[in-house]
This record gives sequence, C-alpha cells and structure tokens, in this order.
Amino acid sequence: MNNDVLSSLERERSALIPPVLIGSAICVVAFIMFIGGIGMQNFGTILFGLLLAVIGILYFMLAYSPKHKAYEKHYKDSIVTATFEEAFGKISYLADEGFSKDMIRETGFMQLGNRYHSEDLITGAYNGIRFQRSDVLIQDHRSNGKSSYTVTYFQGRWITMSSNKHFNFDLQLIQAGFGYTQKKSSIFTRATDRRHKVEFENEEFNNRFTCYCQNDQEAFYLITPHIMEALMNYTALVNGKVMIGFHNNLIHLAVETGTDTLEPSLWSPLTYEKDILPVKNEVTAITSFINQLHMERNIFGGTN
Amino acid sequence: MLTAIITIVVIVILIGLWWITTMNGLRRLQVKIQEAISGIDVALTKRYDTLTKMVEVAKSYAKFEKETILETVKLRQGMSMSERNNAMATMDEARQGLNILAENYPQLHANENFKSLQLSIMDVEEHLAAARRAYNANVSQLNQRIIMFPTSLVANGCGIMAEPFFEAESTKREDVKMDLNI
Repeated sequence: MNNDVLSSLERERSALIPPVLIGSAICVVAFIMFIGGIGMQNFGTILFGLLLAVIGILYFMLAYSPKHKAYEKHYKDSIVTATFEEAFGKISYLADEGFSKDMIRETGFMQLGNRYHSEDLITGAYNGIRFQRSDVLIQDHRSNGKSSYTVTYFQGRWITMSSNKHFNFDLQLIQAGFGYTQKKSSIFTRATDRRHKVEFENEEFNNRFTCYCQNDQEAFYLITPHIMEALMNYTALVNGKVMIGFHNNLIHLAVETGTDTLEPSLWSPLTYEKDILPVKNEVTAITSFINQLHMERNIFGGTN
Repeated sequence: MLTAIITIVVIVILIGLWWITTMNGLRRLQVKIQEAISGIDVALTKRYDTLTKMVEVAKSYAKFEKETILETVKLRQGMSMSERNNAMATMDEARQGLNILAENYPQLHANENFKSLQLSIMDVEEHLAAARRAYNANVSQLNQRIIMFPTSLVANGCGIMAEPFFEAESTKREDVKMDLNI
C-alpha cells in the first residue's frame, strides 16, 4: 500500500517540476531584460521585461499553483491522515489551522516573540485520552536600524492531552537544553501565578529536568516516581528537547524538533524514510507518551 | 585604623546578612515541612473515611473482622510521625483485609459502590504517597543543610533540629503474606 501511494504521489511530484522550471526560466529572463534595459536605458526592453515577468507570474498561478495544491492535499490525505487514522481511528485534520497564539500565551509556558505560525492541527483520541497536535513556530524578529535578524524561540510539535489526574495548579517541566521558556518564577510575577522550583527524590531526573510548580504537593502527586522514569525513557525516544506543562487540566507537550513536519518536498523523490517514517514518528510521539505514562489509568477524580 | 573599623563593620554586616538569609531558608523549609504534614493528615483522614465506607458496604455481604482494627485508628491533630506511621500501617492492614474479602465474595467485588470506593481509595493513596514524598524531600533537604558547616551554626543558634522521615509502609517493604483466614 505504501509503495502504491508513494508511486502515485511521485508521479504528481514529477509533473510539478516542468512548470516550476519553465516559470522560473521566464522570470529569470524577465529579470535579466529588466536589469539590462535599465543599464542600456532602453525603455522597450524594460517594458518587455516587465511584461515577461507578468507572464511568468501568471504562468505560475495558472499552471503550477492548482497542481501544487492538489499534490499537497493528496499527500496529506494519503500519508498524514491515513497514518494517523491507522493508529487512532477517526481524526480531524485541519492542515491550515493550528493552535492560536493566545492559547500558547495563556499557558504562560513559553516566551512569545513577534512572529507566530501554527498549522497541521490534528485532533483525535488514544486509549480514551483526547489529544490535539500542531506544528508551531515562534520567532522574534529584531532590527537595530542597520541590520535585522530572527531568533527562533521554538520550532516543533506542540501536543495537548486531557489528563487522567485532576489538578488545580500549574506545573512546568523543562528538559535541560530546552530554551526560551517562561518560568513565571520572578518576584515580578503576580503571587497567585508565580511558580517556584521544586526538586524530586530522583537525582538523575533533577539533573535532566527542572520543575517549576505552584504547589509542591500537587507536583509530587503529578510527578510520581513512575512518571519520572517514564519521562526519562520518553526523552530518549523522541528527537528533540521537550517541555511538559500542566495547565487547566490539560497536559502540554512541546517537542523542539527544529523542523516543519508533515510537509511534502518538491525537489527530492518521495521515500518511506523521508515521508512516511516522520509521520509515523509523529504518531509515536503521542502514543508512547500516553503509554509510558499510563495515562489510560482511570483511577483518579472526585477526590480533589 | 578607620580602614580596619570599616572592614570589620562590613564583615559583620555581611555575616549578619548571611545569617538572616540562611535562617530564612531553614525556616522556609520548616514551613514546607508543616505544609506537607498537613497534606499527609488530610490524605490520612480521607483514606480513613473511604475505608470506613468500604467496611460499611462489606458488612452487608460478609462478617468483616478488620472493622475492629480500623476502630483502633485514632486520627488527631498534632500526631507524631510514629503515630502517623502506626495509623497508616493499621489502615494498610484493613485495606489488605478488604481486598482479600472482596476476592472471596464475588458479590461484594461486583458491587458498584464498592468498586467506586476502591477507585477512590487508589486516588487517595496517590495523594497520600505524594504528601509523604513531599514531606520526605523537604525533611531530607533540611536535615542535609543543618548538618553542613557553616549552616549548622545557624541551625544550632536558632534551635532548628533534624526532622524524622515518614517511613514507607512496612507492609509494602515486607514480602506479601496472604492471610486467607479472614
């Protein structure tokens, strides 16, 4: 099945390359004529260059864009949706939507720059645990008048899961190396929102994670010895540093992969390793977290 | 001469600041320990209440002798750690007895109320374990700090003593012994 899907998509991808090359060639010629026309102060050449540029853009819009959109949709339906549905049953996949910046801000777990983008929102359930995942990119674009540069605060997958334990306070676990978090631990944070550092009895866990919480006892309730072991195992499985947050009875799992997954490449041929395996890894990121932490255990509630 | 006086004054001020900061840190740990103790007490009370409810349900199905054991548990404010340990060990025994009883009486095992109480007590026990771990973590921090020099000077000066740990349940540390003569 995988081979059939890949072959079909590969044909579509190959068919996209000629329009790109032709459109690009037209635009390059247009650009050369435009620059050359300016150099020679030849108005006719400039005008022809501009006309050619318009033709090139129209060609892109008519011959390339619709095909590319169809290819992307086919890719996402037959690879992303199919792989997720194979693992989770019925899911909802909104490729152009994601978590809102306000939602991330409301958690108070991350520093937010002035650029934010989120897409590939997938909603589903696994072993009774409802989840949502989305690709998230948080950047800060800075300029000093002479030069400008962009700092990436976070790029990766953000997953929210319903918790099987009820909690009333926020808690944040930051793996060593995960940057640009918001800890809310300073004296300038409102006392009711303030988090403080807490250490657990597992030295290795304390070395790998830093925990900020609003209530010590709830921290020990949520982060049991089993959870500590499970989280250490989990970080060995996923590719990237993680931050786990507990907020409003939702568990937020941010994995900094540094890549925008679930997107087809135009220039390289489709392969199982490059196109299907990463989607399977996205699935594993969710299932192994739920499995390792035994989140399906339904013994909690009603006593908090 | 003036330089020497200023140096001494600065050193005294620095020592004073260090003393106050260290004392506050130790006091903060003591407060955290008290918070954890109250968490343990809340969880113990909840556990006792839930066990009592389970016994009530069990009594309608079978004669439950462990009921009398549960009656010996005395929960009160200001208990010592060893009293809390004893209360917990007694409750462990009653809980074990209830589990065995449920295994021997399928009707009790199938009772919805009993099943819900069983789930409830598991959650209560998670809270109890969390409170105990929080207490022990804070006690460990305090005990480590007050034996270290020079913090030990501040601890002795302020009368801050080492606190006892809340031991893990003895029944959990021993091999499981099945008592089928209930």
